[in-house]
Amino acid sequence: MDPFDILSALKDVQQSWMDRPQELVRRQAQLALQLQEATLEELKSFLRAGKSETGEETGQPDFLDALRSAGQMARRHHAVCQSWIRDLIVHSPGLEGRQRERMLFWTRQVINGLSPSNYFWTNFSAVKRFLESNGESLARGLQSFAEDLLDGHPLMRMADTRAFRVGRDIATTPGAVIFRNDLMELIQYEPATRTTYPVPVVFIQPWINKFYIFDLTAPMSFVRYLRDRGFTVFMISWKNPDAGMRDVTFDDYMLRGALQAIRVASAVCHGAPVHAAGYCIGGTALSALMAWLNREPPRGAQPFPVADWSLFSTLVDFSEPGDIGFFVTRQSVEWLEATMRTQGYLSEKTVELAFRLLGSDSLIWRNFTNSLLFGMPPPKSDLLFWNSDSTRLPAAMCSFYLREFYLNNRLVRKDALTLGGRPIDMERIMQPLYAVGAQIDHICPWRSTFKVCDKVASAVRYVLSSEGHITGIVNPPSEMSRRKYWAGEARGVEDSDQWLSRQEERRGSWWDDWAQWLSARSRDPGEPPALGTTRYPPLERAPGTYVMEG
Amino acid sequence: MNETILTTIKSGIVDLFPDVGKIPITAQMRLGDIPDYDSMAAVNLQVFLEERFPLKVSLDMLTEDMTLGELIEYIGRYVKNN
Repeated sequence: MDPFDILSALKDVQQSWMDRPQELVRRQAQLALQLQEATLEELKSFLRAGKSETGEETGQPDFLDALRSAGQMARRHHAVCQSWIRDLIVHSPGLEGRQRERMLFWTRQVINGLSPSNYFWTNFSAVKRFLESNGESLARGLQSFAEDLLDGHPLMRMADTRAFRVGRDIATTPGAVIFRNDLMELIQYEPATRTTYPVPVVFIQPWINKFYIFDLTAPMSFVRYLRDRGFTVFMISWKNPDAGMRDVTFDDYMLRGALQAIRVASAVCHGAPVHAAGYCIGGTALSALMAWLNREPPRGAQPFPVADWSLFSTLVDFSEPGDIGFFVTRQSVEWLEATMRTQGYLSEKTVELAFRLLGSDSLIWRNFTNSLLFGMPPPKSDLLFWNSDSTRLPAAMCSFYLREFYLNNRLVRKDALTLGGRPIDMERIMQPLYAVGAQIDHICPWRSTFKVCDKVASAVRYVLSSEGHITGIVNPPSEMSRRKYWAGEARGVEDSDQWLSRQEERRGSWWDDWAQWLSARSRDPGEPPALGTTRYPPLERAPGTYVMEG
Repeated sequence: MNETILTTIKSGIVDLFPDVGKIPITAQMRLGDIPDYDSMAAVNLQVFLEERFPLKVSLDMLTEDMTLGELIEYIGRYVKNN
């Protein structure tokens, strides 16, 4: 069983070197030499530790010096082997590009796991802490490890889950749930200004993890930022699926989720078409919905329900899906489908594991060293707390999403996909688009998110933000910000790097650029709408019920 | 005071990022010089700084082009003014 094609990639690398045994032997000799050099250098430095600067003996290096040096030597050897293996894969003759990347990805997982910093005796800081605390640090670490293991977290918790409570410290912007169905709750936030723009912002959130990534602690809250600038904000909070939702489809998320939210928000705002914004998979659903709506636009006096749309770190063209693509092979999808057949959903543990493997260095091993070897409590970070609050995915939707988007890449192919009874053709989309990608995003690589620019008929403003999938998007402006972004028109542009070479670097957060873009399309501010309507009355205070579901 | 801040930051960097190995941790070091420094590494550093110093550090400051010298200056100023 090889669901991720690791063995076949390994076999390909091996095979590709079979024809060039001499070159392989030369590389092996080079590795031996590099290891020897590293050993000699470290030994010399170790022996120098026992001498003064003038070269006089000051006594033998003690046990701690020996440990420190052993750790350093292990790290040097690890670095030499790491770069040797990487080089071997990169230069494997005749290896196909994607297969090469696959091999690099999985080898990186093994190499990260074998880093000397992850082991007690080769992590000098761990030993030092152990001695200084009379063994307390490791005892604490082992206790946390045992507790996390019993609680079903074998990779150990990433965040202090007791430090925050949803509705108390995060997701606290005042508002109300004004609509609920079996799939989602729609939150309308209270206005923060005397007047508001008549065109509301509707966030179609990802249903992988919870909605409050846009309403973390007050200084980080995207919702608060928009509210303070006179926007009425609506937010979808998805239900965390259980086995009863096994048959929920992508169409459901698009129509009974995104479209329903847009209709309710528009009704509350006196029929105004909305600014629709989708993040990650929420953006993919919004893109499909835009094509769906443009297939048969409303006739007569009824306006088109979306004034403009925005995508944050969203893939529409899945031809180069980044590292996440290494998890999605035909075999792995079949394997996941078999698991989901029994459970009815993809478990939150599997989703969490996949995302942590994408950044295993920080999200697995650094956390492991900190918690187990150092005996430190997990960090009190709102962002990491959110990251740990994973959700399940309904079987039917998940299977469709992996097959039709990741494996078959049908969304961008004209009429290749039928959703909600209509063939999907992105080229029919006429409404202005604002698309954001993040420079070091491993989940939705920015060059792949850029591919939407020449797939739609509408005007496109593309923004490249510094940072990653989360921090590039949750990017509040602040006085001390050192972040940067590039922004410019990108309608019909195919080459992302060429586009980037024409843009100038701007300091700060792209949020201000977006707020300006939205306000130019929002008409003059007026009296804020009431919270809900007679048809959609407030049902409970935000953040509602679904977000609390474990 | 800057020396004390640098010493604390140094110990934090060695603890948080042991792979820093022999890279000299000086005021000129850029955060991007830390091996595999990414946004999650920045979150870890943010939490460390907020635990060690009486201050709030926003994540958008801790970009890879920030030097330790600039970080120390910010902490020094913050501690003095608050």
